[in-house]
Amino acid sequence: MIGVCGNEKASDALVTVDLNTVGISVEVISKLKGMFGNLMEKSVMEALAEMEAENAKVTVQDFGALDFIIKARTKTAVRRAMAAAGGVK
Amino acid sequence: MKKLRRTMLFAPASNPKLLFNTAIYKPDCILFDLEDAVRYDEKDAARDLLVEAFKSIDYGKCEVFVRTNPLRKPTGEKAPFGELDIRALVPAGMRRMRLPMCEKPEHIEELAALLDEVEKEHGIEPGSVKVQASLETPIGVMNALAIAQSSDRITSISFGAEDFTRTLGTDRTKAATELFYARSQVVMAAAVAGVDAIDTVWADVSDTEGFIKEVESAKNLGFSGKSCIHPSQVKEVHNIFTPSMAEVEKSVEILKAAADANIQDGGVITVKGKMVDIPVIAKAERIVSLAKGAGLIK
Repeated sequence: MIGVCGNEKASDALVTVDLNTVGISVEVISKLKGMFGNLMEKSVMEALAEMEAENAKVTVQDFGALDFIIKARTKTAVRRAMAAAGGVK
Repeated sequence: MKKLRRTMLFAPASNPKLLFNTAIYKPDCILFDLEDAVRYDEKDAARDLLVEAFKSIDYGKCEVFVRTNPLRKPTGEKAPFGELDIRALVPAGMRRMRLPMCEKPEHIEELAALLDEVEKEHGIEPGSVKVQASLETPIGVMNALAIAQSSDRITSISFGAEDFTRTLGTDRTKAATELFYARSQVVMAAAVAGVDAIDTVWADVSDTEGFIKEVESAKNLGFSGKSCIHPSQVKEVHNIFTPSMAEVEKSVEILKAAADANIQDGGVITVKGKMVDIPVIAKAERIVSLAKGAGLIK
């Protein structure tokens, strides 16, 4: 039940979502975490809410991605994790 | 004022950076690609990126198109990604799209029915999403007029030479003689239907001289613009498709003289020794419209 999306390239992020957990946890790994970590986490939480994911462990490896990119990468990773679990969202 | 579509700059939607920096090259249109430029296993990620980009980015005056995946395979079976693209992107804000590999009016009718359904489902004004049909095969080119007239949603048709020469069973040459008939057919169909015709891409980015010759040829044939695959091509196309100030000034003079003589609906005068009648007035109007669109005059 793990989904991965994105790349280790500039302006992108590599997002890993594990649905085999209880509750929501978000880890951000970024050189800019001090300045933008809260915004990155907010993008992840918005994506999880839109995907109606209530149990997810999310890791964001950021390489300078804008908010909308982190949100998109999270959504795709959730979708891939769901597909891996046998249910496509 | 005519909507300018001199350049349609391709950008793979799978590349996050291109979603926000393509507009800085100031093409008239951006064409975010979900089809050929995106790997099969990245189609979902590219679609999600584009959805979030539409929700977040103001592209200003730049007209944004999406080349979705086709609705049908060449065999006629339903294709895997086209409908998913449309169902995700229309609610996010996509209002212009290019349908690849369009071969017959039924392809547009099927697309229009899907768009009708999605617009209704999301409370979007009916007919908001406009379509450019991409003609990339001999049968598509032969059906150009029927396709261009198949729906009010069609605002332009485009020609794709790579798949066209592949399906024709020939090679693409720099002389482009193998494309002459097809390009002429596309332009004539567009003129009859009252829509824009957009010419094919030029793949050899290093051959600027060849590119310029092809753009001049496209303009002379009657195309409204050209698909571009590299930012460096935008400026060259704009230079060729934008009228010179001398042409603009001459056209303004013709229109003023025609208005003063009241011959817009018939009659002949001379301006600087040259005959001016309805066709000349119409050409002058087109040049002035292009000049206004390009910001040369107000």
